[in-house]
Amino acid sequence: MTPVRVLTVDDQPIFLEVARALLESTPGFDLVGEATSGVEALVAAERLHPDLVLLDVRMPGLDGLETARRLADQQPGAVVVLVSGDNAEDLRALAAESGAVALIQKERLRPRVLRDLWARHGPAAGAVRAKH
Amino acid sequence: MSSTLLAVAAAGMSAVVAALVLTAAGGTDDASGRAVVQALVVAVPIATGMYALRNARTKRFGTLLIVAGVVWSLTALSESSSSLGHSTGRVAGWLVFPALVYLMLSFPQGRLLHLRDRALFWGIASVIVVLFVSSALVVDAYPRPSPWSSCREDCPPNAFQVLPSEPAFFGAVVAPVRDLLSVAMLLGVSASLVVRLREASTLRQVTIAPVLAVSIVTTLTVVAFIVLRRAAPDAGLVEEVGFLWTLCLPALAAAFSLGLIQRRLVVSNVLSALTGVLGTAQSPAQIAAALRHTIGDPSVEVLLWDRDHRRWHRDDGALVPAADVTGPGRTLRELGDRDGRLAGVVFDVRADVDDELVASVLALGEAALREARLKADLETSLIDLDDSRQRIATAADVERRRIERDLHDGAQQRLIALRMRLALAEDLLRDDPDGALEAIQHLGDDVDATIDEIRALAHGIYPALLADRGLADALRGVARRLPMRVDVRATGLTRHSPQLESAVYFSCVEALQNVVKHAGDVTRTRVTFDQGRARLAFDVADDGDGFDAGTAGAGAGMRNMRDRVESLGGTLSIRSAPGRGTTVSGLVPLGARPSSVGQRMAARIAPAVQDDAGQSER
Repeated sequence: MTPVRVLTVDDQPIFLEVARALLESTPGFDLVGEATSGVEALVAAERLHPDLVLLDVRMPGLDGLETARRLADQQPGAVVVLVSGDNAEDLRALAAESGAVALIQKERLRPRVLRDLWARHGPAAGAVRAKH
Repeated sequence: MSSTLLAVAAAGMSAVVAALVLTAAGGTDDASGRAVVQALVVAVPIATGMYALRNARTKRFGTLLIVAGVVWSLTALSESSSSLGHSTGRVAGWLVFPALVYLMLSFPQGRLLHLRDRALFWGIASVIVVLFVSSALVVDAYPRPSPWSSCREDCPPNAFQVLPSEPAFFGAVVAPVRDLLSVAMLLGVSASLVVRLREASTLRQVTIAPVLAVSIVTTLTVVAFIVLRRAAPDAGLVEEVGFLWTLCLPALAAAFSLGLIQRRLVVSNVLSALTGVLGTAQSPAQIAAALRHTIGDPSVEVLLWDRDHRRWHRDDGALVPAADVTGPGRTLRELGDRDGRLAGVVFDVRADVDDELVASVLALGEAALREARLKADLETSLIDLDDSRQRIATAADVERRRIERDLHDGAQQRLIALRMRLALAEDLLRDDPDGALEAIQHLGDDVDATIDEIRALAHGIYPALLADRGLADALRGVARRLPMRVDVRATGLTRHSPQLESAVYFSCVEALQNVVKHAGDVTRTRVTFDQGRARLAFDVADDGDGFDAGTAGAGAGMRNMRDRVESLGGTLSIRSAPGRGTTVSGLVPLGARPSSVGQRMAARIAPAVQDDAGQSER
């Protein structure tokens, strides 16, 4: 089984750093790229065709919600998961409209959560849904 | 009223009585009519004169009226059948002239202000003394007919004649000459009065018109009388004109009273109208327009005093040449408060201006100017206050956003990362205990970094050292982190409210940051606190490059400091010159409770400037 190719996006280096550690500790997931802004993320996605994008909501310039919207157009195959350091409840409605499959509080991220997310929203889940 | 004047008045009244008795005893047909006229002729001027004495402004005129009335009363003696009585009365009739002319020409000031008037008065006085009064020594009889006496051919002889008989040349030369001179000079008096009436301000005209009109009629009547007597001595018209002439003095007195009454009315109307106009006047220009209209002087101007440059300027900012302010004929009335002069009213000095009214009008103008000034000052203060509040509110909002940002980017991210690493360490503990140990040590470092971050942030919001140990130690703490030597000296400094301490602290921090940023080559900087009984003075002085305080505008930092200190009711100033260093000095009152608005401001801006100071600690 080929590992899931992951792109992480955040203007906070500290998150990119810990996300790196998270992905290293999670078998089946490979970090293929990091971006520190929305624009950088779009460029990287074009080049890397990631399976999964962990995208911070709050960034200067192009924010996570807008980036998610554009990624949905540009990379329909990529599963976009928004992550937030702020209270995620406030952002639910906006996140739902953005084309992202999920919105996760950053501190809840761990290997198990990542695997669950992929199982629920990855292409396999789509295949399961398609069979129904 | 002085006793002399009382005596004069009493003498006048006695003369009236004497005149009445003599007139009534004269035995002529219309004796009682003449008695009434004589009574009027003397009583009206004296009564009016006595009334005029009560007011300082009309006192001189009153005195002159009484004197004229008393002299005039002697003319009643002309009706006497005795030679001495008749002669005395007739001479008095001549002596009335100078008094009357002086009275007319000097109205209303009681002084002869113009050269032409002085010349006319002395001319007439000379003619009367030299050609009329002196003639009493030579003539056989006095000129007939006379308004003072009803005798015709049967007049008593001249009692004062010293020559055996009247020289022939007198009737042929002197009498026509003196009549001619009298007529010429009386016409001159009339002309002078007409000129005066025309030159008078509108307001003044109202007051003086009755007297001047009667005066003009009087002189013209006398002229007519003299001319008629010479042309047709026996015509009835002469007597009628003569009778008219005897009424002139009481008419003059009555006109004077009328003028006084009219003046009162006009003054009260003018002042009440002016009060109404000034009530709605907003600017010095409008006030000036109202004054121009009221005084009837188109040259009235309201000037404003520029305290900084010590010169006058107009409302529109135009400078006023000194000649326009204090030039010949111009009068400046200054208006100021306890801090010095503020404004001035400039107007034309004219002899004919009603000083008392002008004074009242100017006083009203001053009050209006003062009110306009106060209103403008108040508005400026309110605008300043509003600006200051807005800046403080903005500063507070900016500060809140900064704190949120600091928390979000710093402590929050670190804690999120910690939580994620903790979860990883949990998993690791199961699979790889050695790796987990390393991970947990790593977590410890992260926690330390987070603690530092939160500590720095808290310091930026309100420095712990300031809260615990006060201004001097807190600033010594700041000083240690700055790249230059800073001495902090405190004299008599005690602890104060957090509002005051934070305002002074952050002002000093701002000043110190300015030293670091702008002062250039600084060898030492001194922060001094000097606490007195009622105020705390502080200054931050460096020996750096300095700047030209006259040209450099106040930056946001300076305004921030000023807002803080002023919110406590204090003041802040900056002194600097190129090469002479810079000193920022503040003074805040102690004890007096700042306004609640001030307190709120001080509390809200306390953290506003900590930005850079906070960073310098990180």
